[in-house]
Amino acid sequence: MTDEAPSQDTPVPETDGLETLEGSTRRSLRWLPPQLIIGGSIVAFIVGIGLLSLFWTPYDINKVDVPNQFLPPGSDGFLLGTDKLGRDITSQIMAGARNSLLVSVVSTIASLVPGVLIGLIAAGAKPMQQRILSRMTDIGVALPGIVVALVVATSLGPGNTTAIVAIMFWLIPTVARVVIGPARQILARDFVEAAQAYGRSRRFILFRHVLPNIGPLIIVQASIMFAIAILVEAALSYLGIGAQRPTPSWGRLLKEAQPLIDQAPYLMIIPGITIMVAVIGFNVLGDGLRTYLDPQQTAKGAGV
Amino acid sequence: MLEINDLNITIGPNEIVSIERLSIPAGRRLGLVGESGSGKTMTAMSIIGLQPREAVVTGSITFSGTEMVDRSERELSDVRGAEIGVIFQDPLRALNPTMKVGKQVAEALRLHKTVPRKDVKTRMLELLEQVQLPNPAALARRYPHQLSGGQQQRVLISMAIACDPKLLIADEPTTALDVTVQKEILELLARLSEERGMAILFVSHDLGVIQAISDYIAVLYGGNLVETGPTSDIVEMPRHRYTEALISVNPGHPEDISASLGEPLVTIRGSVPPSGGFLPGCRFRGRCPHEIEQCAQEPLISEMAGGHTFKCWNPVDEAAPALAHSAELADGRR
Repeated sequence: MTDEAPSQDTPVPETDGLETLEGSTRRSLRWLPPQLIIGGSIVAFIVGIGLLSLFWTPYDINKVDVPNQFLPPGSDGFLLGTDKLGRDITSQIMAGARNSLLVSVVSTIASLVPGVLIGLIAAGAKPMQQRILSRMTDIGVALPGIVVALVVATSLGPGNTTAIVAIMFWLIPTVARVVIGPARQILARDFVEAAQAYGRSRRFILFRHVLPNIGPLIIVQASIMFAIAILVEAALSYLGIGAQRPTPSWGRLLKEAQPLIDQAPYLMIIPGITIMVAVIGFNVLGDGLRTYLDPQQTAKGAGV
Repeated sequence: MLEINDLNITIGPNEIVSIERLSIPAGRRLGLVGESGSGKTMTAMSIIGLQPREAVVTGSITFSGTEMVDRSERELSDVRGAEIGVIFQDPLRALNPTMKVGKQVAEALRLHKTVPRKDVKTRMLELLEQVQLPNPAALARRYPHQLSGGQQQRVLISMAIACDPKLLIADEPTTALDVTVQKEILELLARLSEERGMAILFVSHDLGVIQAISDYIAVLYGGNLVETGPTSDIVEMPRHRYTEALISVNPGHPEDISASLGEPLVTIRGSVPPSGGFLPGCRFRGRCPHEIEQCAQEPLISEMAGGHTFKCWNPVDEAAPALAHSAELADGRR
């Protein structure tokens, strides 16, 4: 009670007084976690070639050129070689990036929105409803993804739509489960009680107070969902229930390479490595974002 | 304006709060004082229906003539913020860390009052100025953690008064602040209450703080209202033994610290039993140095002139000045 410390109530200087604030913002902008830079570069590169393929690829991706079949990587004019019909692999990988990204973006957004919504509603619900919703998401998470995809494919037929719907089935419960816990923690904080005391409705509190506070978590989760979506899209295309010719797809390249694995192993290795790099890229980006957005997290804990 | 009658708050089998009668006239300030766990925050929050989910509230709380107990969440939301404002103990935790303070104040404005959209910003800056924040325009662009404790509490106050409430519930609003800032905040609250004719229910464990701001004092012990009355009556002539003890433990010379440094600190012996652990009869029994046989029975309310009431079987003599008793009272002197 007899603290002699000077008043904390320091006046804000007339000169806008934001020097210190700007200083700290600048510092945090300068320090980017290495994962963010590495992951960001990989992702930017993949997005870049995907966008470029919209306007230009070395060759038409479906142009058959039998005399030039089975050219190994590094051949003159065909950087990554050609397949059994002489189609250029480089062009197909570039166009495949486009398809992978399209499926990932659509399925990630289409899963995030309902997933976050369900998570928020569950967190704000009465205990009994909360329990029911939580168990329902558990069931959703427990569903085997590939089997669900096969079921979807039987009704929708193979194609990108099937891949997107199957990924949504898988990711929506995952997102909801990731959101519930932290959202409940935020709901227990004092400013939520304060907001209630100011007459805020439950819905307002969930969207204006809880959602922004779990924003970083959702961003990080989205980048990981992206990686999962790329992987699942490739897997489904490999199984023949994703993209079909003439739609370019990395997974489909893998599938077509399989019978030729002895004759031309590079046909499998190249799309395989591409998928791996893309998935690692998004995962590392997610780690970097987590470190960057959460100052309490030490860089030590970040692993791919 | 606010009338509490036969209020009972129970959690499971335990009675947490039991208040026979307590009222705040419009525009006046009532200080609710008591130790931790005496149910003061619970009482204050039950007025706007924000007691914990498991707590059961019975009895009557009327605010401007309308009953508050058992009203629907929707009806309560209309009163919360609009007619009853609240400020909290820890201002930083009561502000959303992801929103700039100006925006939070603006939202408080928009919620119940139909301020035209274009005027919201001007009104927001006016509010920040009314709570004596310097350079409101720059401050509004900051995040809560970038403000000092006193500034945060001022922002919170500006949000609480945004819709011109008739009653402000201040739940230990100065406890987290250091003494000099504490004084400024108290002065600000007193001024706002006078300017706006706004009643304040001031909750604190610190009798000194309560005394500085309140017109009336209500003393809670173990969830029971043991004594209430005008501030000067309570402080100069406490009747309940617990109030007497509370006054005696306040260090004597707040202006002159050095004078009290050599004196031993006075304490009340023992500690508040957990809820459900009270002896029958007067709840202060067991800690009270003036216990008599009768104390095992539920004490009756005695009424004096000027609205001073107390519940004690063996009260302090009416004529005796409070501090004369402190030596004999203070069992815990070290």
